[in-house]
Amino acid sequence: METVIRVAFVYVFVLFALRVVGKREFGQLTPFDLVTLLLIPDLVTQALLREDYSMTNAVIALCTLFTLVFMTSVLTHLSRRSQEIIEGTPTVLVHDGRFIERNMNQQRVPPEEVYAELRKAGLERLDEALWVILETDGRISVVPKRDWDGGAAASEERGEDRAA
Amino acid sequence: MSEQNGSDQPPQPPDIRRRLRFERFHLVGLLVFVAVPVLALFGVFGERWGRVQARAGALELRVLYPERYRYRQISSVEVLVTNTSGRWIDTLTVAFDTAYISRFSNIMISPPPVRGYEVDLLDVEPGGTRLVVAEIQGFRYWRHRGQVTAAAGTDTVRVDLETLVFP
Repeated sequence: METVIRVAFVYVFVLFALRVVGKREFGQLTPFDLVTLLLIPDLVTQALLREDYSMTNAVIALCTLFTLVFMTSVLTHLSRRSQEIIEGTPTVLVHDGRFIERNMNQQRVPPEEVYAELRKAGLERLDEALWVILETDGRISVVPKRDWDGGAAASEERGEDRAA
Repeated sequence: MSEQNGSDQPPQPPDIRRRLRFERFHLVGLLVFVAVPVLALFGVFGERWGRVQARAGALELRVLYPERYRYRQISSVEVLVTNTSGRWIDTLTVAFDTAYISRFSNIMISPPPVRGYEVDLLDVEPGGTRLVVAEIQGFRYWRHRGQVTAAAGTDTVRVDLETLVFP
């Protein structure tokens, strides 16, 4: 019984803490991936090293964790509101070639990082981007403007600029 | 999307009729996962104590012992033996079945045994009760059965014990 309560408490606490810390810290992982990957080895280690060395305790702890992960996924699937609360929502960093400074400051994303993502997407300038969005898993998506032709237009524009 | 600074929103995905669908194998596995912590909350995998008693001749034997506990946990078998007669008993012997107690490790018996797992209690007064405690640590898995016996003269009383050690 104590194991179930302990796992449930740690799961909820770590999940909450990671949501508070923010998306940028997750890197390539969703909060659930991170919580699960953090807890599984810890639980197994505790089962081996703590006072209760039994496999029974380890199995109870792991089943409790998997049950919580499953219940969380059920909740987020069935309720969009729960999904927003637990997983967070994407954040728009750039719209129509303009930084949304408030969101960038909130999410602690510097312009250099946005430009790095633009370059990865094959864009040179901010005004070539329709949307730059910080996704809930911490990755940044870049959506070019519809009339952007893969760089040719940008090159022509630079040529015109030079000609001018 | 997070609150914007007056900007438009990117296109949102259309919602679907959200409901749960499971394959049979998936469902069975999930039920097992859910059942384990639920059963644990109800104490199914925890320590449970058993109490047995018996009476014969001048002796009454009461034993409190772990019916189930976990590997490497420490527990104890508490044996209370009472002289129900009106006369003194010079030597009352309490013996733990070797087949039972040797299945555990770090066995510590108090008062100290005189032979194997046998304890001699001397000069037990009429109506007097003595306590013998065997501290045992779970070592071998699953069920272990045995007896605790109290004997004085021609009177012998025994009770059966059965302990389950979870892996």
